[in-house]
Amino acid sequence: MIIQILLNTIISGIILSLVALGFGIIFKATKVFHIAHGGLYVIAVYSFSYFRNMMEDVFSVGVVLILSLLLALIIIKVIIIGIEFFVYKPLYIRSISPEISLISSLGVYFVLVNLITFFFGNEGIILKDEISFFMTNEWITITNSEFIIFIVGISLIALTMLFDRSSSGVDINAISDSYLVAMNYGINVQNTRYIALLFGTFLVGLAGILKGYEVAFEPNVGMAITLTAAVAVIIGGVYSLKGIVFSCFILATIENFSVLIIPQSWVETLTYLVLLFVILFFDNGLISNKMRVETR
Amino acid sequence: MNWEHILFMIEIYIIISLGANLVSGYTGLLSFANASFFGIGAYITSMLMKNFDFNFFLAMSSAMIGSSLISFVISYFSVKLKDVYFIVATIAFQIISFGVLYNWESVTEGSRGISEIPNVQFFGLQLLTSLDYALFGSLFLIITIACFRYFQTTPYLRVLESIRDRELGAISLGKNVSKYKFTVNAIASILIAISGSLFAVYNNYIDPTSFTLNESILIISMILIGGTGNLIGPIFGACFFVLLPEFIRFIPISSTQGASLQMMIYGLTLILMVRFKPNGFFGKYRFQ
Repeated sequence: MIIQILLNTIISGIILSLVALGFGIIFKATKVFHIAHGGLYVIAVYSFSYFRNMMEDVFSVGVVLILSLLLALIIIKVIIIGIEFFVYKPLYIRSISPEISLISSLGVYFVLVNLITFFFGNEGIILKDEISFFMTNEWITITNSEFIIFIVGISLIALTMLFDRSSSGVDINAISDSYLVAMNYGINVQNTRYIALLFGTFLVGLAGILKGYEVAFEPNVGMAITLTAAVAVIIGGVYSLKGIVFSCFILATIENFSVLIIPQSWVETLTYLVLLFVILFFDNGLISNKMRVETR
Repeated sequence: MNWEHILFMIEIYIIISLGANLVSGYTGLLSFANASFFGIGAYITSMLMKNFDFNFFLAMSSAMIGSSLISFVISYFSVKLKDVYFIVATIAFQIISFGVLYNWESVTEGSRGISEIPNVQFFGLQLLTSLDYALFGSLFLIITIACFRYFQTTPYLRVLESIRDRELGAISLGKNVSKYKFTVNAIASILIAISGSLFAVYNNYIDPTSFTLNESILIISMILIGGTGNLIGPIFGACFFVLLPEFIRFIPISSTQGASLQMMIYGLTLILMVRFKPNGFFGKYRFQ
Protein backbone atom coordinates (compact mmCIF):
# COMPACT_ATOMS: atom_id res chain seq x y z
CA MET A 1 0.00 0.00 0.00
CA ILE A 2 2.80 2.40 0.96
CA ILE A 3 4.56 1.75 -2.36
CA GLN A 4 1.32 2.44 -4.24
CA ILE A 5 0.81 5.72 -2.31
CA LEU A 6 4.42 6.63 -3.08
CA LEU A 7 3.79 6.08 -6.79
CA ASN A 8 0.61 8.21 -6.65
CA THR A 9 2.65 10.90 -4.86
CA ILE A 10 5.23 10.93 -7.67
CA ILE A 11 2.53 11.14 -10.35
CA SER A 12 0.60 13.96 -8.66
CA GLY A 13 3.90 15.70 -7.82
CA ILE A 14 4.84 15.68 -11.51
CA ILE A 15 1.48 17.08 -12.65
CA LEU A 16 1.54 19.74 -9.92
CA SER A 17 5.15 20.63 -10.81
CA LEU A 18 4.19 21.30 -14.44
CA VAL A 19 1.30 23.56 -13.41
CA ALA A 20 3.39 25.32 -10.76
CA LEU A 21 6.41 25.84 -13.03
CA GLY A 22 4.12 27.43 -15.63
CA PHE A 23 2.51 29.58 -12.95
CA GLY A 24 5.89 30.57 -11.50
CA ILE A 25 7.41 31.54 -14.86
CA ILE A 26 4.37 33.67 -15.72
CA PHE A 27 4.33 35.27 -12.26
CA LYS A 28 8.04 36.09 -12.51
CA ALA A 29 7.68 37.74 -15.89
CA THR A 30 4.34 39.52 -15.58
CA LYS A 31 3.87 39.97 -11.80
CA VAL A 32 0.31 38.75 -12.37
CA PHE A 33 -1.08 36.20 -9.94
CA HIS A 34 -2.35 34.25 -12.94
CA ILE A 35 -5.50 32.48 -11.68
CA ALA A 36 -6.64 32.15 -15.32
CA HIS A 37 -3.94 29.45 -15.56
CA GLY A 38 -6.59 27.06 -14.17
CA GLY A 39 -8.99 28.00 -16.95
CA LEU A 40 -6.37 27.18 -19.59
CA TYR A 41 -5.66 23.86 -17.84
CA VAL A 42 -9.33 22.95 -18.29
CA ILE A 43 -9.68 24.31 -21.83
CA ALA A 44 -6.65 22.26 -22.99
CA VAL A 45 -8.33 19.03 -21.87
CA TYR A 46 -11.77 19.83 -23.27
CA SER A 47 -10.45 20.99 -26.64
CA PHE A 48 -8.16 17.93 -26.84
CA SER A 49 -11.13 15.67 -26.10
CA TYR A 50 -13.32 17.53 -28.61
CA PHE A 51 -10.81 17.24 -31.46
CA ARG A 52 -10.03 13.63 -30.61
CA ASN A 53 -13.71 12.66 -30.76
CA MET A 54 -14.20 14.65 -33.97
CA MET A 55 -11.29 13.05 -35.83
CA GLU A 56 -11.27 9.50 -34.47
CA ASP A 57 -13.25 8.10 -37.42
CA VAL A 58 -11.17 9.93 -40.01
CA PHE A 59 -7.53 9.27 -39.09
CA SER A 60 -5.53 6.55 -37.37
CA VAL A 61 -5.12 6.68 -33.56
CA GLY A 62 -1.57 8.10 -33.61
CA VAL A 63 -2.42 10.86 -36.09
CA VAL A 64 -5.56 11.75 -34.12
CA LEU A 65 -3.59 12.07 -30.87
CA ILE A 66 -0.87 14.25 -32.41
CA LEU A 67 -3.33 16.49 -34.29
CA SER A 68 -5.61 16.85 -31.25
CA LEU A 69 -2.65 17.72 -29.05
CA LEU A 70 -1.36 20.32 -31.50
CA LEU A 71 -4.79 21.90 -31.97
CA ALA A 72 -5.47 22.00 -28.21
CA LEU A 73 -2.10 23.66 -27.58
CA ILE A 74 -2.69 26.16 -30.41
CA ILE A 75 -6.08 27.08 -28.92
CA ILE A 76 -4.74 27.76 -25.43
CA LYS A 77 -1.80 29.71 -26.88
CA VAL A 78 -4.17 31.90 -28.91
CA ILE A 79 -6.24 32.46 -25.77
CA ILE A 80 -3.21 33.44 -23.66
CA ILE A 81 -2.06 35.91 -26.32
CA GLY A 82 -5.60 37.37 -26.28
CA ILE A 83 -5.53 37.58 -22.47
CA GLU A 84 -2.18 39.38 -22.53
CA PHE A 85 -3.25 41.74 -25.29
CA PHE A 86 -6.69 42.67 -23.95
CA VAL A 87 -6.36 42.22 -20.19
CA TYR A 88 -2.84 42.08 -18.73
CA LYS A 89 -0.94 44.41 -21.07
CA PRO A 90 -3.28 47.41 -20.60
CA LEU A 91 -2.98 46.97 -16.82
CA TYR A 92 0.81 46.70 -17.04
CA ILE A 93 0.95 49.90 -19.12
CA ARG A 94 -1.11 51.67 -16.44
CA SER A 95 1.17 50.25 -13.70
CA ILE A 96 -1.81 48.69 -11.94
CA SER A 97 -1.03 46.97 -8.64
CA PRO A 98 -0.70 43.14 -8.56
CA GLU A 99 -3.89 42.67 -6.53
CA ILE A 100 -5.97 44.42 -9.19
CA SER A 101 -4.34 42.24 -11.88
CA LEU A 102 -5.32 39.24 -9.74
CA ILE A 103 -8.96 40.36 -9.82
CA SER A 104 -8.82 40.63 -13.63
CA SER A 105 -7.23 37.21 -13.84
CA LEU A 106 -9.97 35.82 -11.64
CA GLY A 107 -12.51 37.36 -14.03
CA VAL A 108 -10.77 35.70 -16.99
CA TYR A 109 -10.81 32.36 -15.15
CA PHE A 110 -14.56 32.59 -14.63
CA VAL A 111 -15.19 33.48 -18.25
CA LEU A 112 -13.05 30.57 -19.53
CA VAL A 113 -14.44 27.90 -17.20
CA ASN A 114 -18.03 28.95 -17.75
CA LEU A 115 -17.54 28.96 -21.51
CA ILE A 116 -16.66 25.29 -21.10
CA THR A 117 -19.70 24.56 -18.90
CA PHE A 118 -21.91 26.55 -21.28
CA PHE A 119 -20.94 24.42 -24.30
CA PHE A 120 -20.03 21.05 -22.72
CA GLY A 121 -22.11 21.00 -19.51
CA ASN A 122 -20.99 20.36 -15.94
CA GLU A 123 -20.37 16.64 -16.33
CA GLY A 124 -16.83 15.41 -16.30
CA ILE A 125 -15.05 13.86 -19.27
CA ILE A 126 -12.69 10.88 -19.41
CA LEU A 127 -9.85 10.87 -21.90
CA LYS A 128 -8.78 7.27 -21.55
CA ASP A 129 -10.98 4.67 -23.18
CA GLU A 130 -9.75 1.68 -21.26
CA ILE A 131 -7.26 0.99 -18.49
CA SER A 132 -4.25 -0.98 -19.60
CA PHE A 133 -1.53 -1.97 -17.19
CA PHE A 134 2.11 -1.33 -17.74
CA MET A 135 2.97 -3.42 -14.69
CA THR A 136 0.96 -5.03 -11.93
CA ASN A 137 1.87 -7.28 -8.99
CA GLU A 138 0.89 -7.71 -5.33
CA TRP A 139 2.62 -4.47 -4.16
CA ILE A 140 2.09 -2.03 -6.98
CA THR A 141 -0.03 -1.36 -10.04
CA ILE A 142 1.24 1.02 -12.71
CA THR A 143 -1.15 1.90 -15.49
CA ASN A 144 0.01 2.91 -18.95
CA SER A 145 -1.19 6.48 -18.40
CA GLU A 146 0.87 6.72 -15.18
CA PHE A 147 3.92 5.47 -17.04
CA ILE A 148 3.38 8.06 -19.79
CA ILE A 149 2.84 10.85 -17.20
CA PHE A 150 6.12 9.85 -15.53
CA ILE A 151 8.18 9.89 -18.74
CA VAL A 152 6.60 12.98 -20.33
CA GLY A 153 6.40 14.85 -17.03
CA ILE A 154 10.03 14.31 -16.07
CA SER A 155 11.10 15.31 -19.61
CA LEU A 156 9.05 18.52 -19.39
CA ILE A 157 10.49 19.40 -15.97
CA ALA A 158 13.99 18.88 -17.40
CA LEU A 159 13.05 20.99 -20.44
CA THR A 160 11.88 23.78 -18.11
CA MET A 161 15.20 23.73 -16.24
CA LEU A 162 17.01 24.02 -19.59
CA PHE A 163 14.63 26.80 -20.67
CA ASP A 164 15.50 28.69 -17.47
CA ARG A 165 19.17 28.66 -18.55
CA SER A 166 18.42 29.64 -22.17
CA SER A 167 18.59 33.25 -23.35
CA SER A 168 14.78 33.54 -23.02
CA GLY A 169 14.98 32.21 -19.45
CA VAL A 170 17.72 34.70 -18.61
CA ASP A 171 15.58 37.50 -20.09
CA ILE A 172 12.63 36.40 -17.94
CA ASN A 173 14.81 36.43 -14.83
CA ALA A 174 16.06 39.88 -15.82
CA ILE A 175 12.60 41.40 -16.26
CA SER A 176 11.45 39.76 -13.04
CA ASP A 177 14.01 41.90 -11.19
CA SER A 178 13.22 45.19 -12.92
CA TYR A 179 11.50 46.06 -16.20
CA LEU A 180 13.37 49.36 -16.38
CA VAL A 181 16.86 47.95 -15.90
CA ALA A 182 16.09 45.09 -18.32
CA MET A 183 14.95 47.61 -20.95
CA ASN A 184 18.17 49.59 -20.49
CA TYR A 185 20.10 46.41 -21.26
CA GLY A 186 18.18 46.05 -24.53
CA ILE A 187 15.70 43.37 -23.49
CA ASN A 188 12.33 43.59 -25.19
CA VAL A 189 10.07 43.37 -22.14
CA GLN A 190 6.84 42.84 -24.06
CA ASN A 191 8.24 39.98 -26.15
CA THR A 192 9.73 38.38 -23.04
CA ARG A 193 6.32 38.58 -21.35
CA TYR A 194 4.78 36.80 -24.36
CA ILE A 195 7.48 34.09 -24.27
CA ALA A 196 6.89 33.49 -20.55
CA LEU A 197 3.11 33.35 -21.02
CA LEU A 198 3.39 30.97 -23.98
CA PHE A 199 5.86 28.66 -22.24
CA GLY A 200 3.86 28.63 -18.98
CA THR A 201 0.67 27.91 -20.91
CA PHE A 202 2.39 25.11 -22.87
CA LEU A 203 3.28 23.47 -19.55
CA VAL A 204 -0.18 23.82 -18.01
CA GLY A 205 -1.88 22.58 -21.19
CA LEU A 206 0.21 19.42 -21.26
CA ALA A 207 -0.26 18.95 -17.51
CA GLY A 208 -4.04 19.10 -18.00
CA ILE A 209 -4.03 16.59 -20.85
CA LEU A 210 -1.79 14.19 -18.91
CA LYS A 211 -4.05 14.50 -15.86
CA GLY A 212 -7.09 13.92 -18.08
CA TYR A 213 -5.64 10.53 -18.99
CA GLU A 214 -5.33 9.62 -15.32
CA VAL A 215 -8.73 10.63 -13.89
CA ALA A 216 -12.13 11.98 -14.97
CA PHE A 217 -11.93 15.72 -15.55
CA GLU A 218 -14.51 18.35 -14.52
CA PRO A 219 -14.60 22.01 -15.61
CA ASN A 220 -14.20 23.33 -12.05
CA VAL A 221 -10.93 21.57 -11.17
CA GLY A 222 -8.80 24.41 -12.53
CA MET A 223 -9.10 26.70 -9.50
CA ALA A 224 -8.02 24.06 -6.98
CA ILE A 225 -4.91 23.02 -8.90
CA THR A 226 -3.93 26.63 -9.64
CA LEU A 227 -4.19 27.63 -6.00
CA THR A 228 -2.25 24.51 -4.97
CA ALA A 229 0.38 25.43 -7.58
CA ALA A 230 0.43 28.95 -6.13
CA VAL A 231 1.02 27.42 -2.69
CA ALA A 232 3.95 25.48 -4.17
CA VAL A 233 5.36 28.64 -5.77
CA ILE A 234 5.08 30.53 -2.48
CA ILE A 235 6.65 27.67 -0.50
CA GLY A 236 9.40 27.09 -3.04
CA GLY A 237 10.12 30.75 -3.54
CA VAL A 238 9.14 32.53 -6.75
CA TYR A 239 12.72 32.79 -8.02
CA SER A 240 13.73 29.16 -7.65
CA LEU A 241 12.38 26.62 -10.15
CA LYS A 242 14.06 23.79 -8.26
CA GLY A 243 12.42 25.03 -5.06
CA ILE A 244 9.03 25.03 -6.82
CA VAL A 245 9.46 21.41 -7.98
CA PHE A 246 10.63 20.37 -4.51
CA SER A 247 7.66 22.05 -2.82
CA CYS A 248 5.27 20.40 -5.31
CA PHE A 249 6.53 17.02 -4.18
CA ILE A 250 6.17 18.09 -0.51
CA LEU A 251 2.55 19.08 -1.18
CA ALA A 252 1.87 15.89 -3.14
CA THR A 253 3.31 13.90 -0.22
CA ILE A 254 1.07 15.72 2.27
CA GLU A 255 -1.98 15.19 0.04
CA ASN A 256 -1.37 11.52 -0.64
CA PHE A 257 -0.04 10.36 2.73
CA SER A 258 -2.50 12.39 4.81
CA VAL A 259 -5.27 10.01 3.72
CA LEU A 260 -3.67 7.49 6.08
CA ILE A 261 -4.65 9.67 9.06
CA ILE A 262 -7.50 11.94 7.92
CA PRO A 263 -10.47 11.36 5.56
CA GLN A 264 -9.84 12.14 1.86
CA SER A 265 -12.43 14.96 1.92
CA TRP A 266 -10.31 16.97 4.39
CA VAL A 267 -7.16 16.85 2.26
CA GLU A 268 -7.94 20.01 0.28
CA THR A 269 -8.64 21.91 3.50
CA LEU A 270 -5.30 20.71 4.86
CA THR A 271 -3.49 21.99 1.74
CA TYR A 272 -4.92 25.49 2.26
CA LEU A 273 -4.00 25.40 5.94
CA VAL A 274 -0.42 24.72 4.83
CA LEU A 275 -0.69 27.70 2.45
CA LEU A 276 -1.89 29.99 5.25
CA PHE A 277 0.88 28.78 7.54
CA VAL A 278 3.54 29.42 4.90
CA ILE A 279 2.39 32.88 3.82
CA LEU A 280 1.91 34.00 7.40
CA PHE A 281 5.23 32.79 8.75
CA PHE A 282 7.54 32.27 5.76
CA ASP A 283 6.74 35.07 3.34
CA ASN A 284 9.89 34.40 1.28
CA GLY A 285 9.02 30.72 0.93
CA LEU A 286 10.42 27.79 2.87
CA ILE A 287 13.30 27.37 0.47
CA SER A 288 14.46 30.91 -0.03
CA ASN A 289 16.74 31.73 -2.91
CA LYS A 290 20.15 33.16 -2.07
CA MET A 291 20.13 36.86 -2.92
CA ARG A 292 22.56 39.71 -2.54
CA VAL A 293 21.87 41.69 0.63
CA GLU A 294 21.07 44.95 -1.20
CA THR A 295 18.39 43.28 -3.37
CA ARG A 296 16.46 41.74 -0.48
CA MET B 1 -41.46 36.46 -11.34
CA ASN B 2 -41.70 36.51 -7.53
CA TRP B 3 -41.11 40.19 -6.70
CA GLU B 4 -41.25 39.68 -2.93
CA HIS B 5 -38.47 37.10 -3.18
CA ILE B 6 -36.37 39.40 -5.38
CA LEU B 7 -36.94 42.30 -2.99
CA PHE B 8 -35.82 40.19 -0.04
CA MET B 9 -32.69 39.01 -1.88
CA ILE B 10 -31.84 42.60 -2.85
CA GLU B 11 -32.19 43.65 0.78
CA ILE B 12 -29.84 41.00 2.14
CA TYR B 13 -27.28 41.58 -0.62
CA ILE B 14 -27.32 45.33 0.00
CA ILE B 15 -26.50 44.67 3.67
CA ILE B 16 -23.69 42.30 2.63
CA SER B 17 -22.32 44.77 0.08
CA LEU B 18 -22.36 47.59 2.61
CA GLY B 19 -20.36 45.38 5.00
CA ALA B 20 -17.90 44.38 2.27
CA ASN B 21 -17.67 48.03 1.20
CA LEU B 22 -16.43 48.99 4.67
CA VAL B 23 -13.52 46.57 4.37
CA SER B 24 -12.74 46.86 0.65
CA GLY B 25 -13.98 50.32 -0.25
CA TYR B 26 -13.13 52.34 2.85
CA THR B 27 -10.13 50.43 4.16
CA GLY B 28 -8.75 49.12 0.85
CA LEU B 29 -8.58 45.47 1.97
CA LEU B 30 -9.84 43.30 -0.89
CA SER B 31 -11.23 40.36 1.04
CA PHE B 32 -12.53 37.26 -0.74
CA ALA B 33 -13.79 35.73 2.50
CA ASN B 34 -17.14 37.54 2.73
CA ALA B 35 -19.16 34.42 1.89
CA SER B 36 -17.55 32.71 4.90
CA PHE B 37 -19.18 35.21 7.24
CA PHE B 38 -22.45 34.90 5.34
CA GLY B 39 -22.24 31.14 5.95
CA ILE B 40 -21.13 31.47 9.57
CA GLY B 41 -24.11 33.74 10.28
CA ALA B 42 -26.51 31.36 8.55
CA TYR B 43 -25.14 28.21 10.21
CA ILE B 44 -24.93 29.56 13.78
CA THR B 45 -28.49 30.92 13.55
CA SER B 46 -29.85 27.70 12.05
CA MET B 47 -28.16 25.40 14.54
CA LEU B 48 -29.21 27.45 17.56
CA MET B 49 -32.81 27.83 16.37
CA LYS B 50 -33.23 24.20 15.32
CA ASN B 51 -31.26 22.32 17.96
CA PHE B 52 -31.56 24.61 21.00
CA ASP B 53 -34.91 26.32 20.33
CA PHE B 54 -33.35 29.78 20.44
CA ASN B 55 -35.54 32.66 19.42
CA PHE B 56 -34.44 34.34 16.15
CA PHE B 57 -33.07 37.51 17.71
CA LEU B 58 -31.02 35.62 20.28
CA ALA B 59 -29.70 33.25 17.61
CA MET B 60 -28.87 36.18 15.32
CA SER B 61 -27.05 37.98 18.15
CA SER B 62 -25.01 34.84 18.83
CA ALA B 63 -24.23 34.63 15.09
CA MET B 64 -23.06 38.27 15.15
CA ILE B 65 -20.77 37.58 18.11
CA GLY B 66 -19.44 34.35 16.58
CA SER B 67 -18.84 35.99 13.22
CA SER B 68 -17.04 38.98 14.74
CA LEU B 69 -14.78 36.66 16.74
CA ILE B 70 -13.89 34.65 13.63
CA SER B 71 -13.27 37.93 11.74
CA PHE B 72 -10.19 38.41 13.94
CA VAL B 73 -8.50 35.81 11.74
CA ILE B 74 -9.03 38.02 8.67
CA SER B 75 -7.91 41.04 10.69
CA TYR B 76 -4.75 39.20 11.63
CA PHE B 77 -4.12 38.51 7.92
CA SER B 78 -4.71 42.19 7.10
CA VAL B 79 -2.18 43.30 9.72
CA LYS B 80 0.40 40.68 8.78
CA LEU B 81 0.01 40.48 4.98
CA LYS B 82 -0.02 42.96 2.13
CA ASP B 83 -1.44 43.10 -1.41
CA VAL B 84 -1.64 39.80 -3.27
CA TYR B 85 -0.72 37.75 -0.20
CA PHE B 86 -3.69 39.18 1.71
CA ILE B 87 -6.05 38.27 -1.16
CA VAL B 88 -4.60 34.75 -1.40
CA ALA B 89 -4.96 34.32 2.37
CA THR B 90 -8.62 35.36 2.25
CA ILE B 91 -9.26 32.98 -0.69
CA ALA B 92 -7.63 30.20 1.33
CA PHE B 93 -9.73 31.13 4.38
CA GLN B 94 -12.86 31.03 2.23
CA ILE B 95 -12.02 27.57 0.86
CA ILE B 96 -11.13 26.27 4.35
CA SER B 97 -14.41 27.54 5.81
CA PHE B 98 -16.31 25.87 2.96
CA GLY B 99 -14.35 22.67 3.63
CA VAL B 100 -15.31 22.81 7.32
CA LEU B 101 -19.01 23.39 6.54
CA TYR B 102 -18.95 20.60 3.96
CA ASN B 103 -16.95 17.97 5.84
CA TRP B 104 -17.77 18.48 9.53
CA GLU B 105 -20.90 16.38 9.22
CA SER B 106 -21.53 15.83 12.94
CA VAL B 107 -22.06 19.56 13.43
CA THR B 108 -23.07 21.08 10.08
CA GLU B 109 -24.74 17.98 8.56
CA GLY B 110 -22.30 18.29 5.64
CA SER B 111 -23.56 18.24 2.09
CA ARG B 112 -27.10 17.34 3.25
CA GLY B 113 -27.37 20.81 4.78
CA ILE B 114 -29.66 21.90 7.60
CA SER B 115 -33.36 21.64 6.85
CA GLU B 116 -36.54 22.55 8.73
CA ILE B 117 -35.10 25.75 10.16
CA PRO B 118 -37.95 27.37 12.15
CA ASN B 119 -39.61 30.55 10.91
CA VAL B 120 -39.16 33.85 12.71
CA GLN B 121 -41.64 34.45 15.53
CA PHE B 122 -41.98 37.55 17.69
CA PHE B 123 -44.78 39.09 19.75
CA GLY B 124 -47.04 36.20 18.71
CA LEU B 125 -46.46 36.88 15.00
CA GLN B 126 -44.98 34.27 12.69
CA LEU B 127 -43.36 35.21 9.37
CA LEU B 128 -44.51 32.80 6.69
CA THR B 129 -44.62 34.38 3.24
CA SER B 130 -41.99 36.05 1.05
CA LEU B 131 -43.77 39.36 1.58
CA ASP B 132 -43.45 38.99 5.37
CA TYR B 133 -39.74 38.41 5.02
CA ALA B 134 -39.33 41.25 2.51
CA LEU B 135 -40.91 43.64 5.05
CA PHE B 136 -38.86 42.16 7.89
CA GLY B 137 -35.66 42.45 5.81
CA SER B 138 -36.48 46.06 4.96
CA LEU B 139 -36.39 46.90 8.70
CA PHE B 140 -32.83 45.61 8.93
CA LEU B 141 -31.90 47.39 5.72
CA ILE B 142 -33.24 50.74 6.95
CA ILE B 143 -31.39 50.37 10.26
CA THR B 144 -28.17 49.42 8.41
CA ILE B 145 -28.41 52.38 6.00
CA ALA B 146 -29.20 54.77 8.88
CA CYS B 147 -26.15 53.50 10.80
CA PHE B 148 -24.06 53.81 7.66
CA ARG B 149 -25.20 57.40 7.08
CA TYR B 150 -24.29 58.26 10.66
CA PHE B 151 -21.02 56.40 10.27
CA GLN B 152 -20.10 58.54 7.27
CA THR B 153 -20.12 61.65 9.45
CA THR B 154 -17.74 60.22 12.05
CA PRO B 155 -13.95 60.65 12.15
CA TYR B 156 -13.66 56.84 12.34
CA LEU B 157 -14.49 56.51 8.64
CA ARG B 158 -11.98 59.20 7.70
CA VAL B 159 -9.27 57.26 9.51
CA LEU B 160 -10.25 54.16 7.53
CA GLU B 161 -9.93 56.17 4.30
CA SER B 162 -6.52 57.40 5.36
CA ILE B 163 -5.42 53.79 5.96
CA ARG B 164 -6.64 52.92 2.48
CA ASP B 165 -4.93 55.88 0.80
CA ARG B 166 -1.67 55.87 2.74
CA GLU B 167 -1.24 53.50 5.66
CA LEU B 168 2.15 54.92 6.61
CA GLY B 169 0.62 58.40 6.79
CA ALA B 170 -2.09 57.16 9.15
CA ILE B 171 0.56 55.54 11.36
CA SER B 172 2.63 58.72 11.36
CA LEU B 173 -0.43 60.63 12.62
CA GLY B 174 -0.51 58.32 15.63
CA LYS B 175 -3.42 56.15 14.53
CA ASN B 176 -3.41 52.57 15.71
CA VAL B 177 -3.92 51.01 12.28
CA SER B 178 -4.17 47.43 13.58
CA LYS B 179 -6.99 48.41 15.95
CA TYR B 180 -8.91 50.03 13.10
CA LYS B 181 -8.43 46.99 10.89
CA PHE B 182 -9.68 44.70 13.65
CA THR B 183 -12.76 46.80 14.35
CA VAL B 184 -13.74 47.38 10.71
CA ASN B 185 -13.48 43.66 9.95
CA ALA B 186 -15.61 42.90 13.00
CA ILE B 187 -18.29 45.44 11.98
CA ALA B 188 -18.36 44.12 8.40
CA SER B 189 -18.59 40.50 9.57
CA ILE B 190 -21.50 41.43 11.88
CA LEU B 191 -23.41 43.01 8.99
CA ILE B 192 -22.75 40.03 6.75
CA ALA B 193 -23.74 37.60 9.53
CA ILE B 194 -27.08 39.43 9.91
CA SER B 195 -27.73 38.76 6.21
CA GLY B 196 -26.76 35.12 6.72
CA SER B 197 -29.26 34.80 9.58
CA LEU B 198 -32.05 36.32 7.48
CA PHE B 199 -31.14 34.10 4.52
CA ALA B 200 -31.32 30.94 6.67
CA VAL B 201 -34.74 31.62 8.22
CA TYR B 202 -36.19 32.78 4.91
CA ASN B 203 -35.20 29.59 3.05
CA ASN B 204 -35.75 27.24 6.03
CA TYR B 205 -32.83 25.29 4.56
CA ILE B 206 -29.13 25.92 4.04
CA ASP B 207 -26.25 23.92 2.65
CA PRO B 208 -22.57 24.76 2.08
CA THR B 209 -23.00 25.37 -1.68
CA SER B 210 -24.54 28.78 -0.91
CA PHE B 211 -21.30 29.93 0.74
CA THR B 212 -18.58 29.16 -1.79
CA LEU B 213 -15.79 31.23 -3.30
CA ASN B 214 -18.19 32.03 -6.18
CA GLU B 215 -20.42 33.82 -3.68
CA SER B 216 -17.47 35.88 -2.44
CA ILE B 217 -16.62 36.79 -6.02
CA LEU B 218 -20.23 37.82 -6.58
CA ILE B 219 -19.99 40.15 -3.56
CA ILE B 220 -16.73 41.68 -4.82
CA SER B 221 -18.33 42.08 -8.28
CA MET B 222 -21.24 43.92 -6.64
CA ILE B 223 -19.02 46.49 -5.00
CA LEU B 224 -16.76 46.80 -8.04
CA ILE B 225 -19.59 47.52 -10.49
CA GLY B 226 -21.39 49.95 -8.20
CA GLY B 227 -18.24 51.52 -6.91
CA THR B 228 -16.75 51.64 -3.45
CA GLY B 229 -16.30 54.19 -0.72
CA ASN B 230 -19.89 55.44 -0.65
CA LEU B 231 -23.47 54.30 -0.01
CA ILE B 232 -25.02 54.29 -3.46
CA GLY B 233 -22.39 52.09 -5.19
CA PRO B 234 -23.01 48.88 -3.21
CA ILE B 235 -26.79 49.42 -3.41
CA PHE B 236 -26.57 49.68 -7.21
CA GLY B 237 -24.25 46.65 -7.41
CA ALA B 238 -26.55 44.48 -5.26
CA CYS B 239 -29.64 45.44 -7.30
CA PHE B 240 -27.82 44.80 -10.59
CA PHE B 241 -26.55 41.34 -9.67
CA VAL B 242 -29.74 40.13 -7.99
CA LEU B 243 -31.85 41.23 -10.96
CA LEU B 244 -29.41 39.83 -13.55
CA PRO B 245 -30.50 36.14 -13.25
CA GLU B 246 -34.11 37.23 -13.63
CA PHE B 247 -33.30 38.77 -17.03
CA ILE B 248 -31.20 35.76 -18.06
CA ARG B 249 -34.31 33.60 -17.60
CA PHE B 250 -35.84 35.28 -20.65
CA ILE B 251 -33.03 33.90 -22.85
CA PRO B 252 -34.06 30.53 -24.31
CA ILE B 253 -31.23 28.39 -22.85
CA SER B 254 -31.13 25.56 -20.31
CA SER B 255 -30.82 26.32 -16.58
CA THR B 256 -27.22 24.99 -16.56
CA GLN B 257 -26.31 27.28 -19.44
CA GLY B 258 -28.11 30.13 -17.67
CA ALA B 259 -25.97 29.57 -14.56
CA SER B 260 -22.81 29.49 -16.72
CA LEU B 261 -23.84 32.68 -18.51
CA GLN B 262 -24.43 34.34 -15.15
CA MET B 263 -20.94 33.39 -13.94
CA MET B 264 -19.45 34.58 -17.25
CA ILE B 265 -21.11 37.95 -16.70
CA TYR B 266 -19.60 38.13 -13.18
CA GLY B 267 -16.19 37.38 -14.68
CA LEU B 268 -16.61 39.91 -17.49
CA THR B 269 -17.72 42.50 -14.94
CA LEU B 270 -14.48 42.05 -13.02
CA ILE B 271 -12.38 42.35 -16.20
CA LEU B 272 -14.23 45.31 -17.72
CA MET B 273 -14.62 47.32 -14.53
CA VAL B 274 -10.92 47.01 -13.66
CA ARG B 275 -9.95 47.86 -17.25
CA PHE B 276 -12.35 50.70 -18.09
CA LYS B 277 -14.01 51.97 -14.93
CA PRO B 278 -11.85 51.20 -11.89
CA ASN B 279 -14.01 53.37 -9.61
CA GLY B 280 -17.28 51.67 -10.64
CA PHE B 281 -20.36 53.58 -11.75
CA PHE B 282 -20.83 55.57 -8.56
CA GLY B 283 -17.67 54.94 -6.56
CA LYS B 284 -15.40 57.46 -4.89
CA TYR B 285 -12.37 55.23 -4.67
CA ARG B 286 -10.43 54.08 -7.73
CA PHE B 287 -8.87 50.60 -7.63
CA GLN B 288 -5.42 50.83 -9.16
